[in-house]
Amino acid sequence: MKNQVKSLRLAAMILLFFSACGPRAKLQPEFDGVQVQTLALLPISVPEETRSERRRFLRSAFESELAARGYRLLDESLVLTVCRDSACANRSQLAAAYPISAFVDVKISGIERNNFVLGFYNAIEGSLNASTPTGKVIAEVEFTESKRGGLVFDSGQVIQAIKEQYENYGDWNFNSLASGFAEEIVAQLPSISSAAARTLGSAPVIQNVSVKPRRGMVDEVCVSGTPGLRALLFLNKRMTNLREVSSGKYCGAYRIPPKYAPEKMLIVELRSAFGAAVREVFDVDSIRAGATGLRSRVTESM
Amino acid sequence: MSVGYFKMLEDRLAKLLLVCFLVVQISCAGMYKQELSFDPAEPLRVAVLPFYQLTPSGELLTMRDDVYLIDHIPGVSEKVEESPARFVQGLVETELRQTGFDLMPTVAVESALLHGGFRTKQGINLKKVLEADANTLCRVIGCDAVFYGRISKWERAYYVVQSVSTVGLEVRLVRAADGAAIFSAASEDSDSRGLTKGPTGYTSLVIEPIRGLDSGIITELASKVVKETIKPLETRRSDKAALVAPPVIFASSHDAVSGSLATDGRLVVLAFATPGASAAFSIGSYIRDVPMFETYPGHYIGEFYPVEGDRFEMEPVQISVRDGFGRTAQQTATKLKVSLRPQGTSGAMLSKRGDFEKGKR
Repeated sequence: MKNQVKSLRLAAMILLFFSACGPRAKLQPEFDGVQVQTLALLPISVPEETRSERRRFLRSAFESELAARGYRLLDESLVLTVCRDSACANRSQLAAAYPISAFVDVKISGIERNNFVLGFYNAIEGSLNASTPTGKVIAEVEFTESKRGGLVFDSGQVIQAIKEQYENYGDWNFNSLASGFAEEIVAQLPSISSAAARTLGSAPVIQNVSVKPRRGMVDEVCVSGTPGLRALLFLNKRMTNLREVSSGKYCGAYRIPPKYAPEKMLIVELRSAFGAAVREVFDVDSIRAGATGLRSRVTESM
Repeated sequence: MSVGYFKMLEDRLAKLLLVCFLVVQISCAGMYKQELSFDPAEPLRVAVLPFYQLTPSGELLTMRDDVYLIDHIPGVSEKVEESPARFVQGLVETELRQTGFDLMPTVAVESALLHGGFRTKQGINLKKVLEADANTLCRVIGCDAVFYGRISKWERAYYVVQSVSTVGLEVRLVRAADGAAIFSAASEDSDSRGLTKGPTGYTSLVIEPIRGLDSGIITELASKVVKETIKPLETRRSDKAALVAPPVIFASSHDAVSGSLATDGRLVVLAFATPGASAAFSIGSYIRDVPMFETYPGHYIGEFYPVEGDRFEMEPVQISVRDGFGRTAQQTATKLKVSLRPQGTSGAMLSKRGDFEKGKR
């Protein structure tokens, strides 16, 4: 019995030792900084009990790290129209519609928070898989990020141990762990320099904005510009989509109640799937009255 | 004077020292100063410019590939292959994603600067970027505002029985339209190891200051400083959100009783939800976030008018409300799905309804 307990303890220590090591990464030759530049980050798979704010933070951390390495990420809202979970059985629809080099799938297999009053041990364990649109896995990275503190682990510094124990009760500790986890995993992927970054089509351009009154105090707002993009209208703190009625012409019809007069200054935006965008602010009343349409003033080199 | 008297004095002195020590610990908090003069929920498109550091003489600190300021102290510190400016910029970008800003991709900003006349042989001409005004930069990059960041302090000091790590950060958000600094912050904080953190013995008094030079400590401190610095910009403030109930949709409906819409008709959507929220409805994934207007506290109404080419089949009408902290509630408006077909393909029935406001334009 004593020998069994000893073996178990030894096994646990060995596991703990290895879990504290760096990421384990397997990258295929195809995953280089030239061929793979545009990514679709699928919904991150997390344990069910994880709060939405933490899911959101994890995703933000991965988005930041991937963007910092030079990757262009497909807009999350486009991913969500097809993929509701990390499995995303219909991902081929995204691959058909947009020039995606790889799908990135992040799975968090465990989030541990062990607080035993005189110390704490927190850990996030998970993996990142990248696969081509044809389904070939080109990168697999596994890692466990851990943090420990408190009197048990920091017995040389009493005040520091108490401070760490107190801070462990907040969200900051999780955020710090999540940031470290994302940083370590993404650091295993190649980095893309700005000079090597490919241009993805022409920069979006807005050529004209028109407001045409329809019957019943309804206005039809149309934006003319680069075809094949998403057009958005900012109205009442929301971004609603205009539809492409013909090549490069995007329209939507709305009624704005008079008491929302401040909304007369509206914003339209043309946005590409990878975040290139151009915006224009316009006055509904003056354009409705026949003022000339605005010309594009802002472009973005992508 | 007896031995007992001296013992009593010694005890009192020890207690006094302990009290002074605790007071010093409490008072040595970081310095955080922020100024905010706009609504953080405003949908600004923000470009984060490359962060930088200055030398003591005020020159821009340039990085060579083989020199890293988050460095490697053999046996103590894990090598971090990034400059402090780059590292802190990454932390700031992660925090800014929790705000209501539309954050531009890093590579888009850098690419636009390189192609927009801010290039040197080594890369981005940071000096020229910092000298340009926000309007010029946003015309090149395509943004509404630019975010500047400077590492004002990044130090690790060793004093044998104490080591102190200090991180200082200054940030500014400048709107392109008027050049106004709509947010600025200056922060500085320190973390120490050694005498002031209560060593438990002579060994720890020697070892802990050395361990305090670990790059993990200063990077963690940087993470704290960034979080506190960016806090006023967060729209999802969990500390304040905890005091307010999340939004709720009590009831919702739409008026397409037959499920069909005419191409020249409209769909009216109603919701009864938490007052003061931002409400919108979507029709499947084709029509997204049509805004609803709060005509009476808690009563929201929105209308969808088809335009040429609109077409969808058996799509649900989904309502969402969002509070100021970014928390949302969603509800499908009845089980009746809606379809929009070109004229002549089906009989469309729309319920008649008067205007929802009395005033006319």
